[in-house]
Amino acid sequence: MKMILPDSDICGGCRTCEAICSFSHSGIFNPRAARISVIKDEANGVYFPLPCLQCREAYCYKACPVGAISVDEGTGAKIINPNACIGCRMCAIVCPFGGPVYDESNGKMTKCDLCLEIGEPQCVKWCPKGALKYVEVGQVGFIKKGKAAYKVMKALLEEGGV
Amino acid sequence: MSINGNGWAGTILYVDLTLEKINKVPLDPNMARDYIGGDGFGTRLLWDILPPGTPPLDPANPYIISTSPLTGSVCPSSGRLSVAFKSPMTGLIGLSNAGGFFAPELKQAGYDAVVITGRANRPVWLWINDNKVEIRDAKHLWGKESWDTIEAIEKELDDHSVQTMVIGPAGENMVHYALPLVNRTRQLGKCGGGAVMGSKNLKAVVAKGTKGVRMHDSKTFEQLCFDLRQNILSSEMCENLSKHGTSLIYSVLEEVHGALPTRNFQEGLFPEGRESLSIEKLVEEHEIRPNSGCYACPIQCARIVDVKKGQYKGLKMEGLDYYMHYIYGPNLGVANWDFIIKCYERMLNLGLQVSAGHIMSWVAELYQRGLISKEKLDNIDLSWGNQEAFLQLLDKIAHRDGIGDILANNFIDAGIILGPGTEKYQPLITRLDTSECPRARYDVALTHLISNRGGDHHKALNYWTWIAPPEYTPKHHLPGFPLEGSDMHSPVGKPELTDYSEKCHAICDTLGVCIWSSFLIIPDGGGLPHEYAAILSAATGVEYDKDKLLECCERVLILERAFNVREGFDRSLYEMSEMWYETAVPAGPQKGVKADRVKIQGLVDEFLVRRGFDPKSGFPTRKKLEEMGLSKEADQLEKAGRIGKPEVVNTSEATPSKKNEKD
Repeated sequence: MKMILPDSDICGGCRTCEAICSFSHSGIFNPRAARISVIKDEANGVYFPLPCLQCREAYCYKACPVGAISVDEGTGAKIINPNACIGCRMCAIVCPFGGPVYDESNGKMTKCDLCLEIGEPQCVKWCPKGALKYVEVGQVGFIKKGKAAYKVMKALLEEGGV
Repeated sequence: MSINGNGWAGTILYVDLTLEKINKVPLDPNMARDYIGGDGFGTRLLWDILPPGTPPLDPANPYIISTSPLTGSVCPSSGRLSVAFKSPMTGLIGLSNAGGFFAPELKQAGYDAVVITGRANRPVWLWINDNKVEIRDAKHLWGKESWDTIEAIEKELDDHSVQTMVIGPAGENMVHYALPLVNRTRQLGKCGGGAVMGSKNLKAVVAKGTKGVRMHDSKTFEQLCFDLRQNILSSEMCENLSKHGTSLIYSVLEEVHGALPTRNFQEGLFPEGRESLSIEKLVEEHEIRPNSGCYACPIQCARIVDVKKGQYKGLKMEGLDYYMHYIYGPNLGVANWDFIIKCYERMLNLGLQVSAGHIMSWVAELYQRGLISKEKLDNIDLSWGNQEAFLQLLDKIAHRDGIGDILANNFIDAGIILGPGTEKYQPLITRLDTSECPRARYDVALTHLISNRGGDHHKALNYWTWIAPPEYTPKHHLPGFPLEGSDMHSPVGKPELTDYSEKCHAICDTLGVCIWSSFLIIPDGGGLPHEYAAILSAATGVEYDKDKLLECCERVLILERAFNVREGFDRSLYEMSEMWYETAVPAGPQKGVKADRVKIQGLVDEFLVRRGFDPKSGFPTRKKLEEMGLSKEADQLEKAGRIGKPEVVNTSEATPSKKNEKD
């Protein structure tokens, strides 16, 4: 199982991820049609890139009335089949994170597919600051621990030694 | 071939605020091909629309917002917006440029450019929501500061995802150096565009777009953009800019050049600030959040300063750069980061350009010299370092209160009002206030003097001569270029170098990419002319190579210069204030050096000849205009008696290299 792990401490809010996401799926640069969004609070300098988290018990998968969502075995990605989708938006309603988005071009729902056809998520490839990482879900805790420990160690070293 | 969907959106939006008429006109494919976008569109449309001789604050002065074929894509740092108008700051062509997120949003809404003319009969704001364009009432916004305006508009629309361009009180009051703000901190600076918006009763332009941007050859475009981005990211300069922004150059300018603008350029060193205004001090006192970027930017130099203590605790300021650092620091004789941060916030919220800092330092020098009295200054003690006084004066200027009403004028008008002898101390080059001291540095002097919007460092100055370590030279771009040519203190080679780097700056400004991502600033990783030509070709399907791109840019530059000629300027335009010639700085590497008028003006002559302008009159020659496909413009200038003599003046021996322009 894999996921895109965002890091809001590093994200600079440039929205390259949104632009390349839309482009990789439709050949058109259109951040508002992207499957990933950078939620920005400019007044407080907070930038939060939010991709689909590919939940294990995915509400979108369960709620789809026509079974248009399937699970990729290798990665665990939840993938919408546009031919089966009826555009009812139920997946968007039940998702706690806004993963599924409406595709203006065909009236269907779409969502992050981890760019399986291309081989790697393009938002991760293009993020200039490394604020998005493509990781095994089992690694998430370790990566976050490492980051927290680094912060503590740095602070202690600055204080004059552990 | 249709241009729609090949980089360009294919539509120009015309808004007449007097008649409240909105008109959408297909983009002329010839104009698209020859002028590309950005400053190119702005200059072309300004020439066509502005009735010659129109005063800058007249309703007939258009306010032209332009994007480029690359805007809205993933081309590195391609979020730049260009705005053109006749400048109330200088009377010259006004070209302002900002990053942020407005330009890509406007393009997503389907417009290559927006041309705003006339004057609304009440305060209004312009709402561009894809095809739907509305002129909305702004009575409730008038008087609000910049950030409050943005918040009120977002609330009114119940949408925080829109992108904004707003003016503050300074723009409403038509302070000649008022600016429009893009998003919260990106500044359309230098030329007084905020006053032009204010003169139209236009408080804000707001965009939202969902249409998408299409490229001609998507796959090639994507690959070229990725390669360029990797180059930029691999540069050491890129990493340093993310961490420290442009404040990096503060210590270089002081320690290496001795040209840190101190107390209105009277000095080049500021010892009292060496520790208290260092980058390290800022990091120590407050929290820095690195990486805050404009649209699609790999560099992201607009780091956020989170003020952790002191009287301004809680302020979060994005994009605090070198400009604010020196202009509210050494320039005003203040060695206090907190004051700089506060002035930056006031400047943005009042809607003033950094020129406000230069106006204040000019008046402070007049006060120091006894050329202006305390009474005249509404009893403000404008001694160097008096922080409260400067904050008070900023506010008075924006509201045209008391002395602020006089100082709200551009330098030239304010100098006339304050009387003879005061103009001598204005830090002007070619009618505009400069941030760089030209006394000892020939690259600064020439690039500022010939800048079409007036003397500033964003139109021709390049890193190699300006602040680079000696190993960086232009030899890769101009084969045979002498090593001495990259020495800032030598006049050798400067006309040739300036000719080339002005065109390269124009590449950035017509393509809407940031100069910080080009080789002009990142010589070991930034975009080169032939790379931008390839990206542009993939985007548009029009074949551009390096030479064709440079030719388009030269056309834009010549039209800009010809515009200034049409609006009444001649060879005498290219001059700087007496202070640069008469007084030298008292200490540091530049100690005792004054600008050499004869040598510098000789360089200007040489440069003008290279551009196809007559160095005697300063007018363009018919031959050059026709070469550029500008024969109608030549006719117009000839009728007005403003065509240069075709004679070629003997170029001096200072420029040895002729064979060049090969990569």
